[in-house]
Amino acid sequence: MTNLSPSEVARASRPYPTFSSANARINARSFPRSPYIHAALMYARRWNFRLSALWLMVYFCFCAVLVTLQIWDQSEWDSDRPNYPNVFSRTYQINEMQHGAPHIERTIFVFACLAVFAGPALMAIHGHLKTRLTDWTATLLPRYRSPHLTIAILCTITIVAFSCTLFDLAIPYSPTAMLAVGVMLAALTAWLCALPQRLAALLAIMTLAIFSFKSIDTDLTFMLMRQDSAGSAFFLTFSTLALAGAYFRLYFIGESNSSRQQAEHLRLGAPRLRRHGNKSLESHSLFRRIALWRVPTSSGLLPIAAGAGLFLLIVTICLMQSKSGRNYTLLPAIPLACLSFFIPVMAVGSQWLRRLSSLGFEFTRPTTRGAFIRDLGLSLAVDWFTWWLPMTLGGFAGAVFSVDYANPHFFYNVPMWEVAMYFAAYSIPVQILHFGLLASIARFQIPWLIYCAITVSVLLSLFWIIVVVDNHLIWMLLEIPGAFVVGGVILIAHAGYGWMRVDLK
Amino acid sequence: MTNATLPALGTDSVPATAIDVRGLSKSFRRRPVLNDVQLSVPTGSVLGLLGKNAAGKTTFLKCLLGLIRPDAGAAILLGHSSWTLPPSIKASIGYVPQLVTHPAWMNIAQIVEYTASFYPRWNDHLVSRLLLEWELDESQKAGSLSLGTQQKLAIILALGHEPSLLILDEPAASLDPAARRDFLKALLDIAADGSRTILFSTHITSDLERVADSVAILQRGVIRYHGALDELKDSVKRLHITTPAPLTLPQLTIPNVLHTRLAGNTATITVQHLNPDLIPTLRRTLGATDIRTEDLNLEDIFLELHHD
Repeated sequence: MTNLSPSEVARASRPYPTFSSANARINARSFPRSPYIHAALMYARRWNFRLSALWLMVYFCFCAVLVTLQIWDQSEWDSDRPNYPNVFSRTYQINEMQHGAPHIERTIFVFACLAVFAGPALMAIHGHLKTRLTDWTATLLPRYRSPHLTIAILCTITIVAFSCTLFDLAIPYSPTAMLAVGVMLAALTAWLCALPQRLAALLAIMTLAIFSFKSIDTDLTFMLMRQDSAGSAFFLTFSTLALAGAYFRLYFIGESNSSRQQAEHLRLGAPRLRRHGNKSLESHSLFRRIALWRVPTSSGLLPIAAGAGLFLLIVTICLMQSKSGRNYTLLPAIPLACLSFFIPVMAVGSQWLRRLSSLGFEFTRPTTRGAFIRDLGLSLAVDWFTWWLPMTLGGFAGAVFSVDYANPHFFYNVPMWEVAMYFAAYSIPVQILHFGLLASIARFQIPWLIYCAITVSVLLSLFWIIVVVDNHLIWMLLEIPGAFVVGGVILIAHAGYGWMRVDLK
Repeated sequence: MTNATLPALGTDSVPATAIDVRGLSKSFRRRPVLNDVQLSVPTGSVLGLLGKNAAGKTTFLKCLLGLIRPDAGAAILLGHSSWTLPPSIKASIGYVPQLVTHPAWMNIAQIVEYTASFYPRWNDHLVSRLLLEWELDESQKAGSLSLGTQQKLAIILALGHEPSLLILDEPAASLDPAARRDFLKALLDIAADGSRTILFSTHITSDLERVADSVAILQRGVIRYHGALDELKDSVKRLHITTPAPLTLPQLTIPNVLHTRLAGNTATITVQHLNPDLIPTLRRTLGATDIRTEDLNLEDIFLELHHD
């Protein structure tokens, strides 16, 4: 047996502290001084943050090399061979990138560098934040969330400011534009972590990226990065709001799938029904019945947020384009507004797909098959409408604002109600067709078939958008929408007939 | 669980036969699952539906509830065709599916509240007590519930509206032994007043023996046996025959044989509806040195009935 020193013996013979409030206070003092320091120290202990820190050091070296090359190049340029630059030399190319390259190339370079270097660090921060805020201890311990949120925000600001400033030293640009890109990157990663379905978030980001860079020639970054551009400031504000929105969602809603809004819907719907007490379901009004059946699939305020987001997206792109001197606002505004054509089928389809497996169980509630199918069909329609209306309003308002802003004579002599009528005339028939297709296919209760129906609906919408925009059919050709309505109504009738006879799982 | 009993039902509103199934047939993609099923369950009885996996138990229960449309025949529940059950009758039927999916974002309290909204009558007192006794945390979200807890919740929800007919599809399959015991006790409590009918499918024969007063054995879509549990146990016997010389199958021409196993001089024969005169006859014709009769438990009977 080893000999222990007197201090070790004293320490070993010390009794274990009993669990009491007094001991809790003593133990609390032995912990880090404040919860903020405790939250901050977590970042030093995690391997992903250590890797991120290393990666940022690489970024620092990269920027240092760029700055050195710039200084060297300047001195060489001024003294030695100013008239005979070697186009193959690295210094020449760096110089070109720093000063002479077109905006689009430089901005893509900035974007790529920031995404590659700052992206992983931001992702690590937001992933960690989500883990902390949705941890079960967060719901038990008072003042647990605020330190984590505060430290995460401080870390994000540090990363964004550090990476942007460093890059601005290497490749001088507008500080506002640089910050806008950095904050946008932070907002994207935060939303990616905040949304329960990563795939949905990725799809949204990819759609934005495609629309921004390629498909409709908007060159979003080009507009963003012009020096002293008011658009950059606008975009910075928009990105900051988006980042704040992501933090708000993480802080208050956590991981659950729109749970707050849906719980609110339940709170409004179910007890009101129960208060009527001792009444059968069918003796309630249709409104109340639909409110009750919609509880498992209602999206709360999400569609309104999506509609507002669409409006802001269109307006932002419009403002950027007009500042850049391009006058193609019509091109991005109308296709973006037409997103409202197919977003409802994707959102509602995915929500109802999850419900299909429990339809049999739901049918055992006191209702007839006819009433059940009718009420559920109406609930699906209301869900659809709650997605379609905000998206359409957001898209339409954004498109009208953008087109009018860029070309005030575009709507000359055309009353706005007529424009709205045309937009509705192109959107509503597509919705009826999508609704009929989804309702008809859903009765087979086979997930992959429903995915196929959603895909067909989206492709149909895209085709329709291309036909309308590319062939300038905006003011004519109502025969096709008419055919859509007829087809949709036939499919709805077929769905109703089928659902009355189908075996429920 | 002992206190969590349901109030007794009035006898005047309940028909004498709770479930009446006549010639029920159902096929999926030309594969017959139910074939001319006949079953009659009197009110107040506890019927256990026994069958192997894929015997058609769930399909049968879904046909009873009107979820699946039968190809032929009819199922009458509480005096009404199952395909067109009126809401008032459905309000007196409780159903626990094999696997129930609640919206993941709802907590247990919200699920109870939501389910209660559909029924004209809801026993809050009973539900609260069951939640407490089965140790379900009302603030827990459905998405984080284990399979067994989901099953417990489904059972409680099925009892909340005080059904007069309770249909349960393998309700105890996901429960731990303690929860299963509590559940079976609850079933006994519910059935105690004799006015409520319980039909539950299972392949756990010990559960059935503890609770059910009658049993129906479903084999390849056909009701192989339906009757009182005790009668079934009395009717199936196993004979152990020992002879001086080795036995052959043609020697053993015995009526109502379920299964015969030969091993040299010994034969083990399971017989349904054993005629008492058979044993002296066998002793005489086979020259048997020993014939012993063995009573079987339900599990053995179930296995013997499923021998090909």
